[in-house]
Amino acid sequence: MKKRWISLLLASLMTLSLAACGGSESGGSGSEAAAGNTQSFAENSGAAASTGTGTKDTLIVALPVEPATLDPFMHTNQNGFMCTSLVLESLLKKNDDGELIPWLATEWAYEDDTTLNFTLRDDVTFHDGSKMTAQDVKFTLTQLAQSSFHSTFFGCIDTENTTVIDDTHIQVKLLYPYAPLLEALATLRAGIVSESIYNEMGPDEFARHPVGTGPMQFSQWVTGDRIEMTRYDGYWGEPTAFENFVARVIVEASSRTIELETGGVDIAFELPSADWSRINENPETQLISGNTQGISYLCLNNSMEPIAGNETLRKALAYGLDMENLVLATWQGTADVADTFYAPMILGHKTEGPLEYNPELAKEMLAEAGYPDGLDVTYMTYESAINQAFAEVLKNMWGQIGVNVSIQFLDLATFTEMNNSGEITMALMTNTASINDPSAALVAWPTSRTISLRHGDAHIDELLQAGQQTMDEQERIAIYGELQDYLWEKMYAIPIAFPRNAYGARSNVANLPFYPDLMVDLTRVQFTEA
Amino acid sequence: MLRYIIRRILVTIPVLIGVTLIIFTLMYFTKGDPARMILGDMATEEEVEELREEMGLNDPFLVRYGNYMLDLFHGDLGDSYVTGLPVTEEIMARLPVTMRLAVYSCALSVIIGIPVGILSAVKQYSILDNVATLLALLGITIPSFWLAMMLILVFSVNLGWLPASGLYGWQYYILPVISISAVSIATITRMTRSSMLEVIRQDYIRTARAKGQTEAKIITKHALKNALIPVITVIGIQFASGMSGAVVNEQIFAIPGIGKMMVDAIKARNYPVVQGGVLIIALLFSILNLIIDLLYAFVDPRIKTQYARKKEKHKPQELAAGGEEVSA
Repeated sequence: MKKRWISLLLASLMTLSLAACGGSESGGSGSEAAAGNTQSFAENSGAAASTGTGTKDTLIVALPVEPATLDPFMHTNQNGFMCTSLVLESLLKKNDDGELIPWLATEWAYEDDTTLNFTLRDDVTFHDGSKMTAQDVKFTLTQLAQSSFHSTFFGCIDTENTTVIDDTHIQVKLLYPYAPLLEALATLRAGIVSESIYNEMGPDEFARHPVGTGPMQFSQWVTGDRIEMTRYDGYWGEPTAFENFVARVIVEASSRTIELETGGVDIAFELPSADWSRINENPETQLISGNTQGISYLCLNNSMEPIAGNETLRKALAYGLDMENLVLATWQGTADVADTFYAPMILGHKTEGPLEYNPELAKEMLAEAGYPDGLDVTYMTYESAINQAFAEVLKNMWGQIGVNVSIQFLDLATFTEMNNSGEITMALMTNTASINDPSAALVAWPTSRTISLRHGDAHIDELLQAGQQTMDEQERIAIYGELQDYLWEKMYAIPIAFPRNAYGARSNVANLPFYPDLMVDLTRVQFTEA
Repeated sequence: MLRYIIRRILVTIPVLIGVTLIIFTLMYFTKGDPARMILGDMATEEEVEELREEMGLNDPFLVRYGNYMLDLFHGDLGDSYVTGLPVTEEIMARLPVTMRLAVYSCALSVIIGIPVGILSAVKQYSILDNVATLLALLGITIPSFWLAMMLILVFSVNLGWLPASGLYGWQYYILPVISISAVSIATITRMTRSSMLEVIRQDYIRTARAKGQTEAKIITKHALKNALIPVITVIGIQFASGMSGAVVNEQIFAIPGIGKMMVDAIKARNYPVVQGGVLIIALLFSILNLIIDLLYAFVDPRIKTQYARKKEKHKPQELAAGGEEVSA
């Protein structure tokens, strides 16, 4: 009897041990258990106590969010693009001065406003060794045009009439003139994918193991933990300075900072602004910061009482905000007061404000708008340090003009659904233009797209469409100037701030410029000697 | 005994079905649209509606639950809304990590907690007892996330001895295991101490002493076995809570475990992953409870006798059914 008991106990322990040790052998599908094949990475990273600054052969970055997919047609996630920046390449790129430069395409020219001809490099191969051809470019452009994630920028492509002339020449036809197309083609969104590889693998497998023409080839994706790549020897261009690449998922912001400080990672993204000065002052780390192509604005739901149809009320609310102090208190010195509806670095930016802080005028306008005794409004937001700080200051400032703000914190999913169904009265929103063009900066404004503003103003659509379809730059600047005047006049939303952003790197990391669209291209990163 | 084990396993089935119903209902009525979460703010309402239809989110509750259960009986937990991967694959990628951490933490807690608890009880009111009681109190009161951050600051940032996050070798386990097991060590120590104090005052211990047995033998042979029952219960609870995911610790140490997966899935309204995760955790809890019940019998022969008695109780009825020996 005693033996049976002992056997049972041992069996239980064995089951637990097996369960605990299981999974480390799994592999191949790209979703290996976290413990599998970790030793080589640990050795490469030297993460335990590495604080050295010598040359390394593995670049390790810390991601704040694990990408859901790396299929370029199925996401718009910055972290996903940052990973695929080493694997997939676009036809064009931009240099440090913001000029378009040849990449997979050697030449390009508009034949007319709706015909664009490309000449491609002849020496480019995908990671399976097959040659990149114009057919692959056509396939990629077709997928982008049909993707609900990318149709905003690529929906203009006439996929039926786009023609492959030969292996290195393609004529892209457009359904209508679309000025930002070349800018869009120079982003990480437009990485060229092999038609045969994509079809052979299928979208699901490609999403977990993307194959492209870039300097690194995909190695493995350990779900919830890391993505690994190795250098592609058949690369047509300058090889990367590092042999291996690892993107670690570290969700907790303070843990990312600590990993950067202790040398566990070489680059860390989305660091809390409270840590910026510490990283900047530490001799072993550097802060790479700059102005973004983003804007934070107070989004007003223009289909909902009391905002709907009450321009005077909207302006009264704007005059009741002391922008300088609001921005300072919310962003702690890491943002500038917004003077219009998109960032200064974007084409056609026109300074309209900021509005002067005038509580007396605000009170008068409130009375004129039909609220002489003030009013109650609900400010809804999801939890984040910036949202919380903003809500508190807003409540205080508007309280002084007689607007009683009740703050409601929601989780992101609930907020998104309520926003989708038009139940959010007002909220702080941030939009970072993914290409350096006003059409991207104002992507939340078309009536067909806006789920938050709900202004229903057809004149905005007309000006947006005119801006997109006018090819002459000066004419575009004039159109977008008129649009900014109009938006400032109507005040469907209140522009608040142009936030800055930063990423941290070890001091031996070089050639990592700040990308205002936050889509970081890691191909040029180098390690310097100590 | 075998009959008891089979009965317990069978009871697990309705428990698991109940768990699926509860979690499915909760997720169904929770606000948040997975299709909008996937496509983002910039997608048009038509695109979102199309995806919603494709995912079956527009179906009525009973149809969706029925489909889910049908798939479940075929061993299919569904696919993740976010990654498109089978939920089983998502869970199996993370479960070993969580299990490993739970086993190591539990082992550390037992190795430290039980001996310290015994010594503390045997040497009641000594310096050792006072120090152990104080440390146990600290272990219970210090928040786990604070301890984790302090451990990282001291051993990773300041001393540079241990890595701050990730799980890429044995040294990566040290800080998370200490952080997770701090509460368990404290709880087991306190429970062992109080249980031992109760037992060593019993008459049979006095009798054992009167018979001239050594103190070590009295403690290990007579007292410990009787004192272990409540301790085993605590160990089981601590192990189960570690297994269901030490969420905060997983977040701080960037450990890709099941707790972190569940939190991410709830935030993204990734219903299949939440449902699958809860189901697996419920299953593991049931198995663990069974193991603990069996361990009781191993430690305390009286409980084993109770199982045997239950078996005997059934025996006459079976015989009666056979038409012989009505009174046994």
